[in-house]
Amino acid sequence: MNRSIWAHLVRTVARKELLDGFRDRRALMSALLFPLMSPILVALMFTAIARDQATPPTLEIPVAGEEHAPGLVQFLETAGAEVVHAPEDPSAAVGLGAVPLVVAIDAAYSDRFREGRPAKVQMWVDSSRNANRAAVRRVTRLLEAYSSQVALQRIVLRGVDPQLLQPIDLTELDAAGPQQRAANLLEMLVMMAVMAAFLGSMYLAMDSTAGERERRSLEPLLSLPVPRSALVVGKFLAAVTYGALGVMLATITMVVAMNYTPLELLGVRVVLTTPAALGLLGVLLPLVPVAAALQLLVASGATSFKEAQTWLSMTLFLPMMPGMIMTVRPVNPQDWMAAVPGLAQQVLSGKVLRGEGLSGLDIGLVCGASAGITIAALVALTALYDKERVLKQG
Amino acid sequence: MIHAHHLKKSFGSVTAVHDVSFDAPDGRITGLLGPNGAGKSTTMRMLHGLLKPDTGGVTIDGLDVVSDTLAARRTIGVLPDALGLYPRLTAIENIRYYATLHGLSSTETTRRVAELLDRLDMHGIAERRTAGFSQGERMKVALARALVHAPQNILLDEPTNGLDVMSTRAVRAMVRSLRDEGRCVVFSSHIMQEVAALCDHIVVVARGRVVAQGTAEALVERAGASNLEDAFVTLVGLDSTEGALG
Repeated sequence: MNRSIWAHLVRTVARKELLDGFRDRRALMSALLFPLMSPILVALMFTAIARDQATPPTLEIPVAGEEHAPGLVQFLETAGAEVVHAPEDPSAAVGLGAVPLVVAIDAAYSDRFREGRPAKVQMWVDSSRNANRAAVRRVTRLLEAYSSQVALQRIVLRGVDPQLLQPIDLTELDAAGPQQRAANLLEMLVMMAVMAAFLGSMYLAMDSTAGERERRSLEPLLSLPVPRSALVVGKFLAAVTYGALGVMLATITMVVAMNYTPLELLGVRVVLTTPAALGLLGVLLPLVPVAAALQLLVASGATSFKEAQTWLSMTLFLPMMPGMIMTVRPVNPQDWMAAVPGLAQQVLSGKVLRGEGLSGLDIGLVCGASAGITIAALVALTALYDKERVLKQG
Repeated sequence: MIHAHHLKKSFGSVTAVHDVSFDAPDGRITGLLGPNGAGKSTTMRMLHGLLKPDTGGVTIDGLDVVSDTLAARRTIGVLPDALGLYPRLTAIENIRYYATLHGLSSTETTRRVAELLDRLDMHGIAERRTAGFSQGERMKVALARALVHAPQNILLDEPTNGLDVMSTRAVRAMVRSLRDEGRCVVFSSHIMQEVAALCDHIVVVARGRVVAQGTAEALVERAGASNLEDAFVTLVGLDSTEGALG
């Protein structure tokens, strides 16, 4: 068949699928809503973390029986906490979440304290409430600090070297500074852009294959004097267009959202200039044809639209896996990683975001691997459409 | 004109078509008549190369359907039993899509679409999306889609299935006028009245074989029956254990 006729057929199929997809609210939503929303959500998370980092909120400690322990109250206030009167019924107030915790000082506190016997302090908490954990931990630390301060004073008064009480000197060093946490969030951003590539083409890929068969419009289509390869490539191009739209939208939203995020509060140096955004796009776009071709192949092999939906939602996790693993356990980038779609995007986007350039090898590997997988999938897809069983419904 | 000789087709261990041969010349309506499951649809699908016969072959206007599939398909318009339209496209968009895939130019397409809208009386539904169309409306769109490239050969698989009287008459009128233009029409149905009313030549298919063919009168005479229905039952060899719906 003449090359220009073939191209004309491909264009016709692609244009029809694009129009059909454009009128399909579900396809449009899955392609556009996610890339629009997700970077904004991540930016909000960034901002929240930055605010937390900048100004730890003043700690309010509800205390019952504070008149029994003036020394303790003074210690807490010196440490920056605000001691307030506890509600009447501490158990109920904590249980209902009215206050995060209540410190209850025993009536016999001052007598026992003076006699050098353990003075009782109770702390009401609700361990089922995650949001209160930080407050509980801070109050616990303060109480322990007061306790050891008093112990030290008592020992020094009795002429004992306080160092005897400290057999080990433990210092906790947190490797995950704010910078690391922010870097993790950036990996998450990239993961979302990767998902945008998959979600963008997913619905169209499904509708133009499994959907076409389920609507019974496949048989008349296959009766036309059109080579199967033209049908396959036309549908592929339509799906790629949607995937690329999703990725571009995600990148733009990401850049805009990042510019409204106080990244400097996190001490993060993220370069999101126009060249960086273009570099990001260049890293993400090669994933789009891979996603579209694999989705078409999987959806065409499914016996029904429902089955296609199930399979494709499952394959959605594949490209996210490298990102998820790297969020939990960062790995050092290696050259070969650029050849694995999904992983490549994660590793190379990190490079771009940190302001490192991409090497020729990186670009060659990411594009080469993408082209290879895409072509293999399209060849398999054409072979599938050449078989009689492609018409069979489950 | 279509020439089918000794078609055989099996799916796994089931043989759907054992031996089907017939000629469908131009200017004639050839009816494939047989009970459900007789192998009509399988035969129709082999006629335009959607299924490849295990043995035997089909030529359309001298083109071999298996070896020269695309060229043969350009000369035929197919109305499969599946009327699948694109619900989010309008009637006209559905028809134009097929016209473009058949290689018609834009002006040619516009002219053909206008002509078919007239002939099938579809102006009221032309600009509407096909989601929610009645069976009759869907049939008209599917028919226009199959005929948009003015094919010399036309394959209609049970085109009047599920249609009301008015739509059925419209389809019949269309089929007759296609015949009168000198086109080759192959029409499959399991409804005798339908075939008797429309077809010039009837090919009776049962259990994957051609059991008789000829005009309605010839078939009645051959079966020694008083009407076509009795002739059909005799020819197909139905008895009380094998209902006509079986």
